[in-house]
Amino acid sequence: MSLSERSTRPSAMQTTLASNRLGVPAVVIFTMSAATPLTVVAGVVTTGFAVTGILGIPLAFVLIGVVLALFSVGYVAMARHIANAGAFYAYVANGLGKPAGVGAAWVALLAYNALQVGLYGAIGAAAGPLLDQWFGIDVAWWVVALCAWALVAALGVLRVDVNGRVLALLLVTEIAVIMVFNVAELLHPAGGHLTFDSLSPGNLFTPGVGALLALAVLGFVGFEGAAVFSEESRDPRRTVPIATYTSVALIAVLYALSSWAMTVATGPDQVVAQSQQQQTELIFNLAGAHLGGTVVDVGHALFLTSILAAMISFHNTTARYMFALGRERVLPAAFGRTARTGAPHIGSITQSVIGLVVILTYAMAGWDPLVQLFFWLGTGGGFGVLLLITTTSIAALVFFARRQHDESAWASVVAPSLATLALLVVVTLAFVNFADLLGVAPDSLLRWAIPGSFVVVAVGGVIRALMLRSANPEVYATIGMGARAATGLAHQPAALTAGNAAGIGGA
Amino acid sequence: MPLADEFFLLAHNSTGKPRLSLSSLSLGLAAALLAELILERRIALAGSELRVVDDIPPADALAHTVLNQIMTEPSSHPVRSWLDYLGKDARERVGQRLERAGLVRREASRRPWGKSVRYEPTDVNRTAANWARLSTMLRRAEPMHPLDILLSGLALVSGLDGYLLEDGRGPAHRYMLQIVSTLPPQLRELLNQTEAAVGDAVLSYRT
Repeated sequence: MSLSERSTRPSAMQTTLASNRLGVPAVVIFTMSAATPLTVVAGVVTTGFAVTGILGIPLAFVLIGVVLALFSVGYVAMARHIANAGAFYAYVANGLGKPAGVGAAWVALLAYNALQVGLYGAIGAAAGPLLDQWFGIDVAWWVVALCAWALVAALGVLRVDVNGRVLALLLVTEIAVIMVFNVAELLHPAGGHLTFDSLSPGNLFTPGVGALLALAVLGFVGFEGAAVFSEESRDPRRTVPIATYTSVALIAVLYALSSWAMTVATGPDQVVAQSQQQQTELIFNLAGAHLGGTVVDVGHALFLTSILAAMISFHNTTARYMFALGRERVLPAAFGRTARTGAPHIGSITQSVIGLVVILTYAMAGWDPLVQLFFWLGTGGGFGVLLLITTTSIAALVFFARRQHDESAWASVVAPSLATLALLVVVTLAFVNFADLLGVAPDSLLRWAIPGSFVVVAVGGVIRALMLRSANPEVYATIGMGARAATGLAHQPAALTAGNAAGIGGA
Repeated sequence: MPLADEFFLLAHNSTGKPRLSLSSLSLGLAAALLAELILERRIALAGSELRVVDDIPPADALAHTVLNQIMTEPSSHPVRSWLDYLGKDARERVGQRLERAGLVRREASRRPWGKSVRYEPTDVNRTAANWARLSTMLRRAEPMHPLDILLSGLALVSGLDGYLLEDGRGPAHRYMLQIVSTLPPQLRELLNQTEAAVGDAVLSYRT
């Protein structure tokens, strides 16, 4: 056959593999379903108003949306150049060196665990009143939390991820319900006329602004996930960037709109007081006044499924992080193995044990599930993710500065520089206002302990990496490669002699 | 017995259910099919690209069709793509070859949540003896035939090493790693690529 014939014939392999590839809508759905909007709108926003007492939340979502869109330019550009593109620490390892990478990995583990465990408080606090209202049973928050925990633990080990179609359906219904609530709230403003007070830029020049910005970052956690699908997307150069920008834009608009609508419906002067009093029930009560009980029941049910979906999603993210680190031998190799179900079970079980210990500790100490568990661990975890995003942004800048590449100056220098500056400002403000973020006294120990814990684990990670460098150079060499680091072979020095296997396969 | 058949039997229990997740099993079997052709010197790895070096049909029918598949592609592909592609129906195809040889019986059962296929070994003692032979050699750190080393390598990268050695990370495991690393470079590369594919399948798992 002639050469031209060879090159024009369709490839059976490419046709088969391509039929399985993901387009933009699919990647957006996978990315957004980890963001679970109702959890943020009903849980994070109301608790945020209640704890910080500041009106600027809608603007904070817009601002952080812009910063993260800017960050994403360098992020998706770098994703094309590295392995394990779904995990922030891989970017840090490639850009800032392996010790920084391991430090970032440990920060990520702490942050994602905090985010996941915090949700047990949210579901306990949210489901308790509903069970009473629907079935007349009165249970403690931690009983609900333990039931949710058992479900997540079992699903994690059995590898029954919530089906993609179910997640998509939940996501779309959640967004629909939130939009219906928003319309109802905006059509029935407190005092009879629409107010734009919460959108005034002045709200961002208040002493607690850092708290708002950190809170807004929490709403976006999960937007980075699109990069996981680099190799499975139809056109990695287009699909992943478009899906990432789309997710960031959708999240920013949806949350800004919802939190603004909330201030309109309660009246800007009342939203803080009412959030403190009604907690997560606020948006359901506001909607119930105009839409009737059925819509509220649907909203309530979706709120619970939304929290559950978020828990499962963060649980799996954490377990896979541990799996990748186990493959790299940064964590013990056992983490890099799977059960017969294909689940990264050691990581999954470890995460579940952490959850159980925290739930039991809170139950025995009698601490508040909503503010002290959900909100503190949630914002703490969100702050950790903010640190990771900032470090990743710096890593992208350094990564492109140090090598030949074909990315534009905008993607490799300008956008990452602007994003890094903006993120450093956000981190600084968030750190300065950490007491406001938690709603504790400025001299509270927690105010230092939570940000400090990230510093401690980061330093621990760096030390671990430096120890590996001298004790185990083969392992050190594969840090940041994720699954490609493999469990054993890649860490095995190639045999010096051809050995007794030279007889097969040729050399 | 062809390499993929050996690996197939090792990777299924006495009732014919896989000992591995389906994705790991598929990738392991795809790697075994490619390894058969490398051993027959029909294909070779140049870096991570897979190339045909000799188009004389192999005697085995399955090896022949796999070689045909590779030859009819208009261009060469990375071995990683071949693992994904061949993995899609590797269990079915290797299962068929074993069924023709009278070594397994295919049992399909429909359940409310989906179809499950078992490949029950016709001679359980024989498969158990294969396991015991390989396991003993590894645990006693005996010199091994290259084909057994390759089989051990496939078990290692697909996650069957725990089943094979039963003792986790002891000296037998170190011996396994060491002896597998004596394989020629292109077989080591094939195993590395398989191991990476197995890990990536866990990280990007979705329903």
